[in-house]
Amino acid sequence: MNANRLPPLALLVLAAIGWWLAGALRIESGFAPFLGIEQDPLLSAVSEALAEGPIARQIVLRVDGPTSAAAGQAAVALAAELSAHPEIESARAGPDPAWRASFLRLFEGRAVLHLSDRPEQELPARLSHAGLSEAALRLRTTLAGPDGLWLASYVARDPLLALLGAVKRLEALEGEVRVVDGRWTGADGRSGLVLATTRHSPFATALQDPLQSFLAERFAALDRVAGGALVLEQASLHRFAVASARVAAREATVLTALSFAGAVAFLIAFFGSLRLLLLASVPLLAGTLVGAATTQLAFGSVHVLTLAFGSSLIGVCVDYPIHIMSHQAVAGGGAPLATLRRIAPALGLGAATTVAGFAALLFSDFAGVREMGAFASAGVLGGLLASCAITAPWTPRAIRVQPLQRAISERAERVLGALEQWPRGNMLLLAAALALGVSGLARSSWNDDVFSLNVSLDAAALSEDQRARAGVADLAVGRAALVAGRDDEEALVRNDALALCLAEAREAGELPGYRSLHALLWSEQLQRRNHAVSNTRPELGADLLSALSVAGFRADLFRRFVAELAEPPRPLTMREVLASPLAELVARFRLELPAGVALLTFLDARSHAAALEGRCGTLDGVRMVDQRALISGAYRGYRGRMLPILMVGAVGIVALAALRHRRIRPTLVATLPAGLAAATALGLLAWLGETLNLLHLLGALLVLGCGVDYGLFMVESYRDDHDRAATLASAIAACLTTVLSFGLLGLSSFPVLRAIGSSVSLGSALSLVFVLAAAAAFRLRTSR
Amino acid sequence: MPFRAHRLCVALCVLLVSSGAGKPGSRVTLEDLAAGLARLPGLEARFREERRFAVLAEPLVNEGSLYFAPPRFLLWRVERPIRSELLLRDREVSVSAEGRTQRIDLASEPLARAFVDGFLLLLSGDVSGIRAAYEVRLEAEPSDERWRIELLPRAEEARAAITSLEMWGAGSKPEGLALRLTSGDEIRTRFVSIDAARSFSPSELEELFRAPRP
Repeated sequence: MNANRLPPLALLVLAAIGWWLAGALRIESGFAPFLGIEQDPLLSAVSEALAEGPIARQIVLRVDGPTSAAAGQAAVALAAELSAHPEIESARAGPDPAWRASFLRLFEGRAVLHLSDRPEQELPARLSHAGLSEAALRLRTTLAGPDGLWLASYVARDPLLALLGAVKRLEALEGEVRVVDGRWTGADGRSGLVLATTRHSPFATALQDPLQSFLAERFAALDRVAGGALVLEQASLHRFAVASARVAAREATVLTALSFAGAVAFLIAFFGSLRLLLLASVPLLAGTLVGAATTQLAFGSVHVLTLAFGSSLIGVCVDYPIHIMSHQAVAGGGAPLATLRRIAPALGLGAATTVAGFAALLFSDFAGVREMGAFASAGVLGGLLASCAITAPWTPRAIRVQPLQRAISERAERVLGALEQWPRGNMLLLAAALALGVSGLARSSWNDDVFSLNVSLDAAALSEDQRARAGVADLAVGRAALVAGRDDEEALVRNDALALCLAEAREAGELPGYRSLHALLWSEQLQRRNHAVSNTRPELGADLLSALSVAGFRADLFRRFVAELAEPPRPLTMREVLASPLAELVARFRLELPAGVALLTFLDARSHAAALEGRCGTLDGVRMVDQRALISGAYRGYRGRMLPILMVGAVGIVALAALRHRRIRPTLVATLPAGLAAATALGLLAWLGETLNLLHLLGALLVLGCGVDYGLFMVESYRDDHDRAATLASAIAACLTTVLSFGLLGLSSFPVLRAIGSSVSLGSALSLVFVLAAAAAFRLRTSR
Repeated sequence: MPFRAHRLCVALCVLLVSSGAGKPGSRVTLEDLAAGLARLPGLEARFREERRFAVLAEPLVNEGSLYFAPPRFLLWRVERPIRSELLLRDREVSVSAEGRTQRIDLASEPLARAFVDGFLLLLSGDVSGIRAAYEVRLEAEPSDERWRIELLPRAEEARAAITSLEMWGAGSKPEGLALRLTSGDEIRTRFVSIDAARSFSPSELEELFRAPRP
């Protein structure tokens, strides 16, 4: 093919990829999918449900006003306003009265199936002669008491008062929020409450940010009408996620703009040409397009975090055009493709080793990290191809060496010459770096709590969150007990057992509170067990009527219940409940899985996790889930497994370099500095008191990618003075642009950005220093 | 707790008429009752309540006291045979029995809500509001100051639970009420020792109507 046709053709291919991506790209912003753990699909599904389920998606709004009535009215108005927003699934200022009415309808005539959730233990005594007499007296007392009026019309079919217990359980299920005249109110009785649930994850900040603005705007309008006397407080994950995203966007904009401006200014000064700068940016663009397309094809979507961090990882692609142009500058008007052919082995090997390093991420347990591995590996290859197919052919034959490039080159040569005078000193430097890295890593502490990698939460907002949440949403987001079954019935059977166990735990003081679907629905098996136990005594009906008669009741009115003791009604089923208004309530607890159903029981944040695990965790089909611990544990495990994976990657890199050079010293100079720099950077950060996390490891991976490039380029060009000068200049230019790009991120208030910024900038700089030191220490010049 | 505000209903019905003493020698109107209630300084009375449930051969009998401090506070206290209390503070209702206190959501209890709404409408002298919520039948004999008022709720939810609420009395002394439910059950309450001019000191208000802790 004519070389002149190659760049337009390559651009055409890139344009086609871009066009396809414009239609096919699906950007995922949810939190849970990114944290998906492949090892356990059930826990992964539950983790997603907890992170993005109804409790996580709930927004609690507390409206204070000059009077309780004004606050309540404002809360109702605010709920109505929110209900009209497309992101709001539901917004209420009070409980749904339909739930209670629906519950009473479903329960009617089924009392005989709901006498006890421990029928074998409790019913024999309750249904004995003495027990029935006691029950009849209790019924009489109850009818005389506060519950008597509403119960009176039900007791003929429920003389053992099963409905009373069921209603109390339903009330507990709905929560302990105070209700005044149909409106939720704060503990002081003077504030109105709104409970809203969003349709999407609180971490889908692109959707939640406009909602937060809408909320602020609508409340301000209500407040104006009320004469400025209203105060709004909010408790939600959404608010923190949005605040965090806003800070991230602000910092990323400022820091990226600064670093970009710095890098551009440097490269313009280095090359003296805007055209060269544009050509140098083509591989980055190509890498991003190829990476995104590959990820979209392989995973069906691209996560925003993959785009963010993956784009950083493929920043290494800028090394290739810089290297090509630097060598073209010293080639003195030769054909750029000839220059490319001369340095192609170094470029190819550099890219291959970088891809080998990034490909290690493909073996991660976490969907997000695998995505990054695919994105970065494919992106680097795309960047390399674009460098060869577009940048190199269109690089001008004559590039004037700029004063900055010349100065860098000459001074680097002098430094290198000086270093070569003290090979042992360089060896000592490398040994000292190794000692620093190893000792630092030995004392390092690791933070596997990925939830803490966000920006620090504002103390005032946290305090407001606690005030608004008090007494309303004490349940912990992400802490639950889980039962799974092949169908609803199997899950409900296990849920019944779990509920009994949790009740015992509460009695034992291990669990202040919980909300279980058991309060609303028992398994058909448990309902039938109720009937089976009550049906063991043929004379039970007669005894009951006798006891009721003795207690002053008209026994003949209870004959229908007695008939139901012999011929029980149909058990209440999940299908019936889901077809009622109670389906909305059930949806909080029920997950449909590919292979069945899971039921969640939400636990109080103050529950004693270890005690609960010991007491209830061993029940059949029961798993106690602490999402934070689950994810952190999985990350800790992954971090542990990442080290051997990285080692394998490193061995691959060394093997590739050894295959190319077939000698020890060049191989060591090409590969050792990068590994040493990555370790030293992490060790140094540890010595400086930084707690390390997974992002530091990703940063180290990028350092390996860059550092190996520097080493390989240096080894490939060391024999020729001109080439070496060009390589020194290009390596320093690439290193400086990397430090500029990432160094500023090290100033971010986000632990995530800080981690990757500090590790990459420090490691990249150390890589270059160690490459020079290694070249001198291993006498690369004389070894040839 | 659902449907437990019967005592509240009873008490409120008493209040509806307690200050409605007709003007001697003239016909007692709903406007008179409402205006009288609006001027009520307070109320204290003893009561004897009979609960006539279909499932029971004989009525259940409760005895106790009620206290009303307009416009916000009502306490209905059963003393025999089992002690329990129902307290209305503003529009929040709580019930205490057997050592436990629970709040009642009026919105989920049409029965209680119908009475509270009626009570507040009368208290504010909102006769048109009363007529909008209830069909009112009032019988009064100016000659002996005796009167009888029957309220039939118009709201569908309330009508589903309540057939009628009937109250009777003489002058400023309410003597009883009957609450008839659609199920056929009935609550009949007689009032004695009525002090319709009762006023409460701040310490009494604090003592009698203190907000319960659930």
